[in-house]
Amino acid sequence: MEASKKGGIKMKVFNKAGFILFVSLMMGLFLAGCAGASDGSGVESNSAGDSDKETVEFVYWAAAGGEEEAFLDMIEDFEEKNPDIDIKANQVPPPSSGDYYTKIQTRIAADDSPDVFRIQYQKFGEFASEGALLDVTDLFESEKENYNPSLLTAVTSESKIYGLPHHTDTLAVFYNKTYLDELGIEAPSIPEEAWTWEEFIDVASKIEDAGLADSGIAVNWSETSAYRALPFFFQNGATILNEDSTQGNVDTPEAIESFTFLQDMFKNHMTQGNSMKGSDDFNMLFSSGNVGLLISGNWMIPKYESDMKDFEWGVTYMPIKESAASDLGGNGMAIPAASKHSEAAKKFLSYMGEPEVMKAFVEKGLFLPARTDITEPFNYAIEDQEMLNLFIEQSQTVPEELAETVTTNNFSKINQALGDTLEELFISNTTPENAANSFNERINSILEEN
Amino acid sequence: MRSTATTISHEEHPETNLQNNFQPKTNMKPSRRKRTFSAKKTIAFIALCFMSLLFIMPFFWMLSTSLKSPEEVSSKDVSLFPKELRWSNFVEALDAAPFLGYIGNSLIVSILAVVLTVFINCLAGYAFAKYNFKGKNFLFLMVLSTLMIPVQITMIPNFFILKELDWINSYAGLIVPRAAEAFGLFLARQYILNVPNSLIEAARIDGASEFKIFLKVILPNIKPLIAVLVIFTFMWRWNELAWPLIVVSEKSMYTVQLGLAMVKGEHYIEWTQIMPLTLLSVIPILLVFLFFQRYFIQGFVGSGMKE
Amino acid sequence: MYLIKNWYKKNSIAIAPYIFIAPNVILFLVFMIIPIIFTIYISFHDWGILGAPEFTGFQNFVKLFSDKVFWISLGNTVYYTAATVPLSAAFGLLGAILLNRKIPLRPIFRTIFFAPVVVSMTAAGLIWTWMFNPHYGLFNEVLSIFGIESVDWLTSTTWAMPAIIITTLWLRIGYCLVIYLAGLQAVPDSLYEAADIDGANDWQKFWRITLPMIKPTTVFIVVMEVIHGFMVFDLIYTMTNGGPGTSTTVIVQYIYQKAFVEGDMGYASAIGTVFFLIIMVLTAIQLRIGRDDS
Repeated sequence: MEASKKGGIKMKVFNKAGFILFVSLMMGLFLAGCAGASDGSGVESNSAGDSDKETVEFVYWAAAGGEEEAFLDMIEDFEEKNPDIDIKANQVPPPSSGDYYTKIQTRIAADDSPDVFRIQYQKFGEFASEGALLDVTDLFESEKENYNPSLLTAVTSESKIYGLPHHTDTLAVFYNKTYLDELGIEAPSIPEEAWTWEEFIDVASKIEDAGLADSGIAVNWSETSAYRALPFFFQNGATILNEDSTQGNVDTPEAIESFTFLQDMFKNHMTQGNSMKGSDDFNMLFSSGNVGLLISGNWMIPKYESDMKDFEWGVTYMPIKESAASDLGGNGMAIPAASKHSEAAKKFLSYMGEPEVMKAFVEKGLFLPARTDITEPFNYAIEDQEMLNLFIEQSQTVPEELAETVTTNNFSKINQALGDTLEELFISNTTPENAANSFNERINSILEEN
Repeated sequence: MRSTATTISHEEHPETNLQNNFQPKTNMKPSRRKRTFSAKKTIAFIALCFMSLLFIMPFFWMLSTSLKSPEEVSSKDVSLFPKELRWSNFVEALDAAPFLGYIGNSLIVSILAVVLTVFINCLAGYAFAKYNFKGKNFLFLMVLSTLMIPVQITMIPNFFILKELDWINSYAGLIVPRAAEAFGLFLARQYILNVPNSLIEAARIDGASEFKIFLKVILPNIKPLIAVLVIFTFMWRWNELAWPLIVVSEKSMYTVQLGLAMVKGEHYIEWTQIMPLTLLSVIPILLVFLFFQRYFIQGFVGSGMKE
Repeated sequence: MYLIKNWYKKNSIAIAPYIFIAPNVILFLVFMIIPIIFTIYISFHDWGILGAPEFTGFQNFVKLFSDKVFWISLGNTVYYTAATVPLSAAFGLLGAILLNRKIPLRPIFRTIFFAPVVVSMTAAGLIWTWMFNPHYGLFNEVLSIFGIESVDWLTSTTWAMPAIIITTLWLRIGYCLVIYLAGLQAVPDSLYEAADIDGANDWQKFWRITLPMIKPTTVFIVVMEVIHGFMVFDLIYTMTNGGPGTSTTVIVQYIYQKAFVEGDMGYASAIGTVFFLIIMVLTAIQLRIGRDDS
């Protein structure tokens, strides 16, 4: 009871004035805390670079291992050679698992633009058409002939170059050699002898019939990389867009034939979980021998080298129909038009494009260079150098029309439509004709909107 | 704050009215069922054991995968237990990314968010529960209606607002915009409704200021509610991915969930790497729950059950 | 100054609540209401973040009504909610009743059941994707012990949603259980004692006493779980990304896809606006039901 009185007295001392004081104190502390927190990060970046250094923010993603190391090495080397520039390297989750492009767009729109960022070729059109990228034609004017023409097409919009074509990658067929040996099949070793569609399917059937694996084929594709199905159209002489990219062109007999082939391949020779939205781990299916053939890219070689312990394996060319074709993969680097350090950013961009630098990068990251004038031999960070040569050969089969298609302004939406169409073709019983028609309609309405 | 119990000590039992005398007893009394001990209880016990087995299975599978070699993980024969315990998976996973730094950031964000959110939710909950003022119902409904707004809808405009405040890439940006949790406010209001008005009146007669009443009468009487809010706020902030993804652009500010998103990789999932990290990401929050769970159920007894 | 102090002194009961709610309400206004208004504004435009929004009137909404996937995703959201709400509530109640007696290891059981609640949706999605893997996962292995044949869980249009629902139950049952445990403890023992005297059996006691007495708890759980159901995103995004086909595409995920994958902010905002309206109507109905009760 006595304590109660004390409490009561204390309370009176502290009443309204105390309350107001307390609130303002809380507010003050709170605001100070916020300011302190944001200052904290600011101070850090300032102390990292001396005050006379220009800071260039570089946003990129990289797979763990060689690719990640390659970027860091290059950044360090660049900073050494350019003591007045400090590269603030911000590695972020890859586009497949984050909101990579949305965030960059939002940052540009909110006047918080990074200075250089990594960008897939498929996204160049979208960014360039909105005027979001800096014209860097002057950097490349004199060396155009030293770059792979498809990739140069990819970064060019209305005859202006909007970024560095950095590297490419492409698809080929990985096969389980142990299985093929058992069946007495030898995989083609020169492009002229590449499996035809029919032969490819035939090999898959033999693997299944012999009980070696439940499914013959797997493909490294997903909803966001639906474009990896495009080679199957171009192999058959089909295109996706008409010549001036104003309308869809997939209601043709050739395209319908491609849809038919893809549907047959999926339904009869692939696992249910390998659809566009499927959750099967196709890499694991291949390395554990659950499928015999896997269409995948050069960047995956080290993974199979480390994981595939029970089987021998090899790489061969993409199947052909009327002609050979493979996918245009890889990434470039671009400078946002809103960058406040564009001159320093340009220096960084042209550094990354130097032949020796690019060579070192692709060797570590297992990519194919965008330049054509790099002196061989390459010293890739894998056991079997020959394998990469096959991918280099294969990359020469990427049709220029395919490069143009995947870099049109609205490719994100077209890619989504392609993914939806294929998903429907695989999962429900849509006919190839219906799939082709509805895909074509969706392309037309996408192109019409803009 | 201890001395506060005394301000309400004109009631008979100062030690019980700390929290319990205005609500039904929370300690249940199983005495009634003693007669039927054996059969029913045995069945219940077995049922519970079975259920917990199902609940533990995913955790076990996560641990088991964490300790397997990559070849064993992709083996056609699924085995429950690893052939040999590869603790090095944890070391390798931690080497691959500055994960402990991410945990540090998450701790800073979650703890600061807990302090801020719990304080302002209780304060507002008190106002909504115990005062009459103009616009009260309107404001409360406005807050409640945002309960079902997914963060994906508000993310982009919020980024522009953060930019104006210069809060991008800062702890403030991670914490403040998400501090006013509608659910927390709702729980707080429901719980505080049950605090007897007599306590407040008595303090007011003693001459306590309104804020003093909140500090000295309300807060000590809502400890279980605070426990619930602490656990939930910690959980929300700890587990959040979408919001940090848009606020943070520097690796030094990464939270645990962002770190996990990075590890997930572009081309494939390395199960023997991601499972140890997932396990590590779950442990701190389990500890928070274990620490506060004593109050947890009491907290719910008081909220949401009335009205 | 003195005047102000004096004025506050006199009117503190009237002024204090506004000061108390100020931090909350200001944060809501800035970080919730303004963005929502912005979203509604954008829903009448064509906007891709870069560049200026272009006014298109009701075009996005017109498109929405003939968008098959929108309706499918709405249907899937309802399917998911309708399955998860009663199931997690029922299992939560069952667990709570079992635990609401002096049983050995009670705190341990309680902790085990609640543990999944604190796991992030992304982590849970990863764990269960791995559990459900048809080739390397544990789930089919366990089922085979009971002689149940393997199912292609996440990759079949029929089973993908049930698989996600099973994962949700793992995540949410503990939450319902703990709240029910709180609700059960608030039921006075005297009621059961009276029923015992009347010779009621356990089943009757459950229907006549327990269930009516914990009705407020049930209402609370249903409201919370419906909210959870309508907002589900991370789990589905991690586990199936809406597939196979559109069999698990839910509304928030569809918004995400339109906005963040395809960069169509205008259309995404239109879906968001319609979704917001639906929520408003639902909330109004819920409030009406709540009011009728009391």
